[in-house]
Amino acid sequence: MRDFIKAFALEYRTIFKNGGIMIVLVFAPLFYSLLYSSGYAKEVLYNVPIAVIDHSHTASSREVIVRLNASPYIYTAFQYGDILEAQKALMERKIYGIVYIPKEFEERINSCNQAVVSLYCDAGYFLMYRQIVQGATGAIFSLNNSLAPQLPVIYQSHTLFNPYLGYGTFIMPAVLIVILQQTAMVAICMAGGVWRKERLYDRFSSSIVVTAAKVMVYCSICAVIASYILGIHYHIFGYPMCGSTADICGVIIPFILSTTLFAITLSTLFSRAEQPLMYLLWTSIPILLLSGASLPPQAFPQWMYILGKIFPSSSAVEAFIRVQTMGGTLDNVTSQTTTLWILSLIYGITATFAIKRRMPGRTTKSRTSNLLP
Amino acid sequence: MFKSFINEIERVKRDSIYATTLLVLPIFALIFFVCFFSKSGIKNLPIALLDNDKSSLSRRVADMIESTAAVEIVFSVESSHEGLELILDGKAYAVVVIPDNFENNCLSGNTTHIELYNTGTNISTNGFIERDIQTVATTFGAGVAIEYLQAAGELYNKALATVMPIRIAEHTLFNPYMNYAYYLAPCFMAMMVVIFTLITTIYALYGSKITSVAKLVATCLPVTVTMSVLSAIMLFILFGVIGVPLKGSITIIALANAMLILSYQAVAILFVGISGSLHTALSLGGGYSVIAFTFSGFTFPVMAMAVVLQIFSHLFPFTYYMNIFIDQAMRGAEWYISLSDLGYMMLFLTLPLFVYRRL
Repeated sequence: MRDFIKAFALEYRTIFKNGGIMIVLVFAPLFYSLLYSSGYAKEVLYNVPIAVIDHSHTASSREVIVRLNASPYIYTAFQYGDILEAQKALMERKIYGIVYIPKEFEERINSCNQAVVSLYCDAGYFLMYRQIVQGATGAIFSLNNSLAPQLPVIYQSHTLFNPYLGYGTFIMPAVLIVILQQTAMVAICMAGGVWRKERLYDRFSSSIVVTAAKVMVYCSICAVIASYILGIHYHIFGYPMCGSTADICGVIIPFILSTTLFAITLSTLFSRAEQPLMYLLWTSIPILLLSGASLPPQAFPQWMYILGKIFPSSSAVEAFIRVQTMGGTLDNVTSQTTTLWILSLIYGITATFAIKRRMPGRTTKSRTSNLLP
Repeated sequence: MFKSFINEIERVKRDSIYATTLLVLPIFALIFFVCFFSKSGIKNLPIALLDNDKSSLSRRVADMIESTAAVEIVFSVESSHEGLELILDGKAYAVVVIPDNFENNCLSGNTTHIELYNTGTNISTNGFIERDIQTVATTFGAGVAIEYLQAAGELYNKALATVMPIRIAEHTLFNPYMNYAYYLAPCFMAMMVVIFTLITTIYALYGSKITSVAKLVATCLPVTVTMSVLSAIMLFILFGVIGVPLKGSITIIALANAMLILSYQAVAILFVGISGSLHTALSLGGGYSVIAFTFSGFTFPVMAMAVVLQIFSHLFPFTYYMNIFIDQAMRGAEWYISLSDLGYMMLFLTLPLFVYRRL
């Protein structure tokens, strides 16, 4: 017990003494979560500028323009006489789409022939593209409804958990989980570098005790940060909170535990505190991608998706979104929580053995077996 | 200067941290993205079908859904609750509901509907599913209405115009296949160049005593050269392997790559100048490099952000780089369109002047 308290105190001292670790462990998750969420705070893209080329100049074509402007997603910023002018504006990013109404537009409607309106969309930016298509097709659809008899089959779409298709609501739950994991991982590894550099492992004889003390330290800190993110940050930015507290804890606890143990295992490989930042920083984007939150697993090779399960964030992101955003229960995420508990067990064993390798009695071997430079 | 440069090369050979961040990890990152984007397009997203009618017409709708590019009916459910459970279990992305009396209503000229219940928790899958199901529903509905009018003696063209007086002809510019890899791969790969350039330059500067401008240049040069080679490989992978379109000037893209590396090296010099320790400089550099992705406006446009964040987005060379890349690679813009973005990137090169004396 004395060793446990000693290791516990030593780990806290390492964190508070080293400004770099404090920044990464405590301030970075708060800073990143605030900055990313602020970037996506408006959630939905409205008023994308488009141009109209109206060669018809009739009441019908003007009605098209009125209905385009009635859409919240787009507005007619310019009207041009020809396509070349509009193309130039498109290249200069003054507009992101062009609606072309041909000369015979009204004539065709009045003569019971189908009229065609052309829509040219910039697909260089997917969100712009989606809003323009949605805005323009919605406008033409409403005009058709006023001109034609009701179609026998009406299409109705319901978005269950993110009704306005907010970008922040979509991506931030996954980003927040990855931020929690990555900052904890880098900070724990930095502390591991300090432990090796200052030969702090030499002061202990039981690797289980050291592992347990480190787990207690980081789980307590991560629990506070997670509570802030889930309790305060989520409220500030208005993200959906449909899961019960017990179910959220059922996901977050094994996530924090497995992340901590995974990081403790890795931390024994670093001999200097700056190494983890340099080696692990770039992994945030690949780890976010492997969770399948940004691109679905159907969009990338299956072996990568399966391999990605070695990171606790992959299972945690899936489970967290389904519980917190969709309002599912732990029964819906059994496979993910089981994976997280299995990872905790595996990384618990690896962490204990990895620390044992750095302990007195194994020092000769350990000092010659640096897996990382 | 040449001697200093040789000394730096020797240091790379000696210092395994330097070598790992400069060479091993960037190559590993490039391999990761090549593998990740090796599968083209989003296909076969699993959805569930709740067919309350079980008629020949409802089966026709199911067949039409099956024949779409992005969606595949993997589950047939008997109740909406069962469908919702499949969504919550992560087995299906959406549920399509065909109501009772669907066929009877269609044939008797009454109005019926096809409903899609989408999650909305993944905007990309949501968009693909919505597009395909809406196309099926609209095409099917129009088809039924046209058949009805034709049975009453109307000609096909007239029937079509009656049902849908105005048709929208959609032309997708610059990414005609709507390929997500074309869209995301350049951004993520360039992001890797940014991260490694910034981090490695900070590390190189801390390990070297800067006594003159020549020494500063010599210290940065191994990173400049290596990252230039890596970014050239990146361009080859993007255009040659992944198949991202190249419609504009490769010279401007190459120039933008060089400017991206140099501008982030200038930022690295600034961080070293204002930081008291390597850890602080690395923390600052790490944070600055990673957030550039969000504020480039590539996934969520800058125009939709708060005004203060729109101004903030200009503080990252990456924002200008992505503008140039999209303009030149995908939009086929004239070369001079990108000159202003290149000019903004060049402004970052003045940053070392403010901290040179503190190095």
